[in-house]
Amino acid sequence: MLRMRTIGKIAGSGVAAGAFALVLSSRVSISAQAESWTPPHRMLLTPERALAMVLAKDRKLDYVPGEVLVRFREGVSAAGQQRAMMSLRSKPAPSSLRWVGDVAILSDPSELDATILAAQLNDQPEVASAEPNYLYRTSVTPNDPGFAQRQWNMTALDMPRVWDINPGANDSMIVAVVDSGLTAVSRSYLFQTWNGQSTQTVLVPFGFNPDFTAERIVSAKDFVFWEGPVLDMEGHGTHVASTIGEDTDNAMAEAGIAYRVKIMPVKVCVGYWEVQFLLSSTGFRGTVPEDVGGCPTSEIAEGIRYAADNGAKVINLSLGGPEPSMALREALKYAVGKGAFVSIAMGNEYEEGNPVDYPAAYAAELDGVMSVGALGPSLTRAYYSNTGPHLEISAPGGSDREGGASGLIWQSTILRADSMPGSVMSPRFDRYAEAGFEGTSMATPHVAGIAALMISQGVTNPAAVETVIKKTARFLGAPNPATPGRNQAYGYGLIQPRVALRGSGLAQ
Amino acid sequence: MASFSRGSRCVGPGSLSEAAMNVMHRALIRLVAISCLLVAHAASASAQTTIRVNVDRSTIWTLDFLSPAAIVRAGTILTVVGQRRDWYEVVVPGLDGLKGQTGFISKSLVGDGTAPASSPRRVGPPPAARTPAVRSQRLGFAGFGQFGYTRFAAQNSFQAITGQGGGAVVGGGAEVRIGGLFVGGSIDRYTQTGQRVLVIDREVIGLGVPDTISLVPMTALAGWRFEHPYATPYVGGGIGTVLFKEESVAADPGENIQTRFMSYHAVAGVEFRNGWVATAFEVEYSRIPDAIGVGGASAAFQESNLGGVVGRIKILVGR
Repeated sequence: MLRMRTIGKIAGSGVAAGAFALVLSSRVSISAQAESWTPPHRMLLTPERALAMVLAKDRKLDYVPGEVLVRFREGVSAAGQQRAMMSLRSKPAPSSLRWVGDVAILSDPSELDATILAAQLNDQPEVASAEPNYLYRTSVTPNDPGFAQRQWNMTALDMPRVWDINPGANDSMIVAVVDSGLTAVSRSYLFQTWNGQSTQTVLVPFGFNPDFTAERIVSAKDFVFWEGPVLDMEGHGTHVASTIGEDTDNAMAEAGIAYRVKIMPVKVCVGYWEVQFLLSSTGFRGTVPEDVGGCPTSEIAEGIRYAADNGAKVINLSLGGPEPSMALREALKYAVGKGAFVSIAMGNEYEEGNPVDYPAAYAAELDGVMSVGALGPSLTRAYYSNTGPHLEISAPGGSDREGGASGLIWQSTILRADSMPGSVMSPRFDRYAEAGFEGTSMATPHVAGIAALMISQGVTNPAAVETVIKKTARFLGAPNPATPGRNQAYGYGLIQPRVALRGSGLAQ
Repeated sequence: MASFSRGSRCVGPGSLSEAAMNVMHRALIRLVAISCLLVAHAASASAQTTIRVNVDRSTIWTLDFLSPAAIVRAGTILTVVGQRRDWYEVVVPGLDGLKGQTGFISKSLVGDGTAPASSPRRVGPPPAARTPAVRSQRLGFAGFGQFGYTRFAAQNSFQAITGQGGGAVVGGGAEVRIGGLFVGGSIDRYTQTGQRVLVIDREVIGLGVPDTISLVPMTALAGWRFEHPYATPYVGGGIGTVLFKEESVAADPGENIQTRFMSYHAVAGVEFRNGWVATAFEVEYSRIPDAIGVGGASAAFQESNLGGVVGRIKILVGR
C-alpha cells in the first residue's frame, strides 16, 4: 500500500506550483495539514497528474501538462534516447520512461507546456515523433431521465428480429469498453473529499450493475486511477457497456444488443470524483471543476493494446479529441492486427465548428476500425454529430431535440443523483437506474454490439466486419456523386444488423 | 424355319437403248452399274439372319464336327450364314481364337424365337417371339424410377450455401415407345439445407443461419432409341418447368422464395434390358436461364443458370 503524499510534499514540484496558481484562481484553498489516507490499492493517478488535469481544465488545455509521448527511430539505443532527452530542461533519464508498445511516455515537471516539449524532442535526430499526451473526452451529453418512449434505438435497428437470428452472441465473445469503467466489485472504500468546510473521510459504496451478471465481466483493468478493481464514478462507461450488452429479457431495466457477451471494462478515463478524492487526500481544500479529468491518450493506447492482448474481439472507444495521436493510431493498428474490430465515436462538436476528431479520423485508413456518427429518433443526423469524409457508419445516438427525453438513448447506469458533483458531498456508486444520454458515444456501442453479434456468427476478420457493415447499410441523406453510396453526413448510412446477420441465400 | 434370299435385282446395261450409247451414257451406265453392285452387296449384307439360342450351354461345333467351337448361353444371338439339314451354320461368338469363324449349331437348340431379320417370307415364329430388332417396331410403355447426382452450373453459388456444387436427385416418370421413338415425362427432386452466407470478394463466410433450397424439375422429353440386342443407346431433348424454393430460418414470408422457371433439356443414355426390367445410365444437361443471379450469393458469383448436368441411373419396368 502506498500512503498518499500530502500537498506539502509536492509543493516543490513544478506541476504543483502551476496547480497552486490554478487552484488559487479557482477560489479554493489548500490545507497545510491534511488528514492522512491510506489507499487500499497502489494509486496510478498521482497528485501531480490530478493537479495537471485541473490545470488543463482551467487553462482549457487539451493535453496533460508536462507529458509527451515519444517514438524513437528504429535502432536508437538507450544512449541515443538519453541524448535526445538531454535537449529537455529537466534532462530525464531513459529509466524514467514508461512504455506503451514502442511509444514512451515522458513526464517533465519543469515544462508544463507539452507542445514545447514535443517540439524540442521532434528536433532531435533520434526521435521519430513526439506529441503531447492529449486528454480525450468521452463523447456524451448526459440528460436527466424522462420516461416516455424508450429504446426507440432498438426498434430502429429491428433488434427483436435480429435476436431471432442471433440471440445476443455468446459468452466466448469479449467486448472491451475502453472508457470510464464498469464497476467490477461490490464493496465500499474510504475516500477523502471536501464537504464544503473541511476534508472529510467518507465511505463510498460501489456495486455491480444488477443488470450485468457479475460473471459477464472479465479481465477488468484500470490504467488510470489505481491498481485496484475497476470503478466507474461517471456512469459513462456503464451506459456504453449497457448498450453493448446489458442483460436482456430479464424483466429488468433495458435491453442490450449483444447481451450474452463478456464485457472487459478497461478504465482509461477519470472524472470529477477520482480527481477530487485524490486531491482531497493530499490536503487540497475545495472542489475541483465539475468537468475536470479526461482520458489521456497514453492510457487509451495502453488500454487498447491490453484489450487486444487479452482476447477482446471488439473494442469500443466512445471518446476522442481534436488532436491526432500517432500513439493511438499505432495502438489501433495493433488491435486490428490482433483480430479486434474497433468502433470509435465521431465526436459531438458539429455545432462548435465540426472539427476532425481523433482517433475517429484514423478509421478511414484502417480496415477493421469504424467511425460512428449519431442519429436521432427520426433517423436523421443528430444535431451534434460530427461529419466529414472519414465518417463511415451511423447508428442511434439520441437527440433531445427530437422529443426531448424520449429522444435519448436509455440504458442502465449508475444513479446520477447519487454522485452529482456540486450537490452531493458523499457520493455512492452502488445504485443503478435507467438514464437517457445522447452523443456519438451512445451510437458507437450500437456498432460494437452488432459487430460482436457478427463475429460470434462467424465473420471473424475485422476488415470483413467493416465491409459487411458498409455493404448492408441503408443509405441516408443526399447522394454524393464523388463517393457513391456514401456521404459526409451519414457515411454509408444506417447500420442494418438484420441484413448483415441474415446474409445472403442462393437467390436473395 | 427361316429362309434366305441373297442379292438384289438391278437395272442392267441391256435395258438401255443402244442408239443412245454414247460416251457420256457409257460413263453414266458404268456409274449406275457400280451403284448397283454396291447396293447388291449391301442387300447381301443386310440379308444375314440372326437366331436366338434357347437352351443354355448349347454347343456350336466346328465345321468338321470334331470339336466344340463354343459353348453359348440361352439368349445368345447368333448370325446365321447358312444351313445344312438340321444345322445352322453360324458365326462363332466369343473372345477366343475361333471368333469370327463359323460353326454348326443344332436347329433344335434354337427352336422358336429364331427368325430371319429380313426374310421375304415369314415362315418362322409368330411376331410375339421376334428378336429385339423386330420388337422395336412395336408400341411399348415403361415406367421408371431414377436417382443420380446433379452438378449445378451455378456451382459456386450452391457451394457457398450448401457446401457442395451439386447434390442427389431422385425422381421417376414414364415413357411411351413407338419403334425407336420415345416420348416421356419425369419429375425429380433436389433438396439441401445449408446456411446463409456473406460473400466478400468471392470469399464466403457462413453465418450459421439455416437455408433450404429445393428444386423440382418436371420435364417432357422425346428422343430416339438405337435398338440393339444387349444395349440400347438413346438421345433426346425436351422442355420443362422447375419449381424453385428457398427458405430460411427467421425469415419473413416475403423473404422466402417459391417460383417457377422454364427449363430446357438434352439427354443421352444407354439402356440394358433383361426381360421386362431394364437399367439405364443417363446423362442430362439442362439449362434454366436467368433464374438466379439478381441477388444473394448467385449475384455475387454472377451465376444465373439454375440448370446443370445430371448423371443418373434409371430402373425401368415395361417394354
